[in-house]
Amino acid sequence: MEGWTGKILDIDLSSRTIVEKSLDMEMGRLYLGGRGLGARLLWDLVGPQVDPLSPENVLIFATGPLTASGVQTSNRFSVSTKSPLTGTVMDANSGGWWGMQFKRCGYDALIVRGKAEKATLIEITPEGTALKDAANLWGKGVFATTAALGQNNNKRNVLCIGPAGENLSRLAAIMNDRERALARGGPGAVMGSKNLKAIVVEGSQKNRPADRENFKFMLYETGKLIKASPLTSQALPEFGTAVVMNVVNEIGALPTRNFQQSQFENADKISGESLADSILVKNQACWACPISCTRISRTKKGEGEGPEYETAWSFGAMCGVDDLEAIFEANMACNDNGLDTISVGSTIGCAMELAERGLVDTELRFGRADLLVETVHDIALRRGLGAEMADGSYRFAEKYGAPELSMSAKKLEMPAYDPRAMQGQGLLFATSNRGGCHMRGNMLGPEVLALPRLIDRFAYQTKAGIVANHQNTSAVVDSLVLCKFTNLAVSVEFFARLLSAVSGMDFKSDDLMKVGERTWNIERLYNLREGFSKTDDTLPNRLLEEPIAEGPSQGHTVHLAPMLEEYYQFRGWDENGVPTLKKKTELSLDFI
Amino acid sequence: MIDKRLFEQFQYIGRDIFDAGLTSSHGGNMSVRVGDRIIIKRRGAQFRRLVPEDFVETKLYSKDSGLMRASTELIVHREIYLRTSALAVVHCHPRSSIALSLCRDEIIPIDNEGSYLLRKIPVVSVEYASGSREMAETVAEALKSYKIIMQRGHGCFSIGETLEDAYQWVSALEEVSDIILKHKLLGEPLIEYRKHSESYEKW
Amino acid sequence: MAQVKLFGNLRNYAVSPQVDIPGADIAAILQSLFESNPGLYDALLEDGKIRPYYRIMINGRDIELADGIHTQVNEIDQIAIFPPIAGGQQ
Repeated sequence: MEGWTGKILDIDLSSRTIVEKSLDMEMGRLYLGGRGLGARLLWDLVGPQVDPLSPENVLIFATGPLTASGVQTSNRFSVSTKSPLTGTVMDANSGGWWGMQFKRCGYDALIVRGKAEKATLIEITPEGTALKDAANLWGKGVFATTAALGQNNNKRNVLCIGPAGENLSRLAAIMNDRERALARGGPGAVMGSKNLKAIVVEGSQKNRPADRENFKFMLYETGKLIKASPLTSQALPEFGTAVVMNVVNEIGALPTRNFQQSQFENADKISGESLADSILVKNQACWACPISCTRISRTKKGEGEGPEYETAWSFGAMCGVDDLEAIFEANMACNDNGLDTISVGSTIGCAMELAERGLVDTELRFGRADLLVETVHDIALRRGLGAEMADGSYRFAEKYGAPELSMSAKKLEMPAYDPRAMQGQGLLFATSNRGGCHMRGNMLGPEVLALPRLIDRFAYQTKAGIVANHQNTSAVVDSLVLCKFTNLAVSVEFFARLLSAVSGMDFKSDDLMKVGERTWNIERLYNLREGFSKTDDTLPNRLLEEPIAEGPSQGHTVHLAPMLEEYYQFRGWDENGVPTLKKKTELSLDFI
Repeated sequence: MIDKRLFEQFQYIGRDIFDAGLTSSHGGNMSVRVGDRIIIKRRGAQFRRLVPEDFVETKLYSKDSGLMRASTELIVHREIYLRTSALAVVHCHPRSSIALSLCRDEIIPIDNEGSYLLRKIPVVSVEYASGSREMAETVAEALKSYKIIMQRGHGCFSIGETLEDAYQWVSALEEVSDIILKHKLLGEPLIEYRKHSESYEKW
Repeated sequence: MAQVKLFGNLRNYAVSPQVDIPGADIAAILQSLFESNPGLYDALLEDGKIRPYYRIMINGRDIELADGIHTQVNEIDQIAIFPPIAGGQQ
């Protein structure tokens, strides 16, 4: 195996057939793996007539040519599907160990189609692949399921859904290695709709590099860079991602109480610093990762991973809550039920605002830390108001006559940055192919942290190029598949040389940037085929029309229209945001 | 009219480039890409004394009247933007680097900072070295793999997300070249201190 | 009196995470800060310059976009100093 195994496992749960197919190496070269490959395969397999929760939708679990090679953070993988939350093409990305182990089973990707008649699990071992009955696991939480199936980080890895996925919540995540999450866009519901409870993997093959000498050199160089960067060697290991809470608050970009304010008076209480001083037990790393950003925290209710920045925000400032213990326990409840913490916290925040405006009858109010865990369970089990919240803030707010109070883009709840205080981030959220998402090119680096250089966060001219480049780069990292935190220290020119050393093929930095651009464009074309258009490249009215009332970002709204125009021009799309024939041909997408 | 903030960036970088001795009074050029347009220094403007009128805006994907006033090397900048993800391009004539480019096919740093930032700077050779189609294609193709390259006897081309990035590579390159020259003057054997340094040639 | 707030591991080098300090510009404020918290000098500076990736903000605006360490400081201004941090991607 040099990068690619060349094999895809294709399982049809309806007919209970298991087939090994070849990976088209031309496709491998153009899309690499992970997100890129997933998008390309999804284009062929799932068209506009398919309901995301029907048997015709597919789940594509994909690794990349660098997975399990030993490159720093080469443990990640993704799942691609049509999202039941947004209706767009969607990939969710996770770390831990499962991706590495799946690669060791000898496959680049797994396609799951159809629907099993009864609760089923897939088990892949060196002896072969089997479909097994999972009736005794259906209804069990993620933690119990993972333990029951024999989770052992380096040898045998469990990927599964919890009650939220079984109950087809559009906020349901697929969990792996107990507390890692393929979270956004509801992939857990797709898996639940197929009556698939879990996928267990045990592998034995190795991803050996074609050019060992060069590979050793590159590994040494990237290791040096990661050690040299204070972000990856000090900040992240010491404080975790929540270290960002205070700086985002300081500049007035921390969305508070459903984006009604942009600073939270108690931000420090839910920051990485406070976390380190209170419930933090230690940090932890995924397979082959020197950065070790995972938090392991403990309260009276138990010990587990988290909270990350986004979670500390979504159950914290977004809900007006400053209680770190309550936030951690809500996080644990999401993990055990298999739910996306960003969307759940944001949906609860939305419900709180609707309640305060008298639009919905509930006890939920901003600051009610005591109701968080219970509400998470209600959502997972579709109980009481939870049944209505389980399909996301947009459908929920729309039902109560106020869809504009859902802080989402394309129905995916936006993460912890107020775009009125960071114009580039606004353009990013509005144009991301899977909806309001920061992992498609986070502008936090350039607009706040001076990474690599500081640009004015209030400027909106000349932003489009940087946003588009960041989007392309993040698509590359998602297709190799590596962790984006390595990208904080290691640039694409290193990834290109790493890939060349592993695969024995010649990849230049620009080839990789083209992979990123190609992936971005095919995702765009997929959404256009689904009926999305320029009018969907937008943000909630609050962000476009209501200036921030107080604080360092006072008076600002998102100047989306001029940024969008420049963005379409930069990407070589027409004025409606449709990729031109010239651009498609350039990217080998002219078959579309 | 050029955006004020953008002009300031051009002005500062232009001044720094000239003051560092990286180009002669009217030599070199620089540009940025905005949307589907290029903003480039006009032909004949001085790096040290730039004014807003010294900048020309022209289309990236097609020719327009902007090319009458734009730098002679607009064709190279355009090709670079079409083939790479660069958002800024700087071209100047760093003297030590040019001297080295006349006698070797690649410049390999011997100093710590240079190795860390650049690793290897390839030298490309073009017969008709000023604003030709051949030059544009050769230079742009090379920049698909490197952030900065030398054109034999002519000068360097560097790319970046911002002008400051592209400028940093030029400044780093000239430091690399100066150190190589000074070492040659010393005439003493090199004591290798870096692990895996023989691999830089393969970068 | 400007209010100076310290974040991340900078808090380990100071008597308190938040302190009021007089000064006409950022440079003067830093000087006072170092006098009462000498450990911060080495933490924040290298060869007399602020270390890379460390950010200083005044009322939520990065001083790099103003006049750097010569940025004027007024009464009741809020100054925040951050060590290298991350939480997104480059």
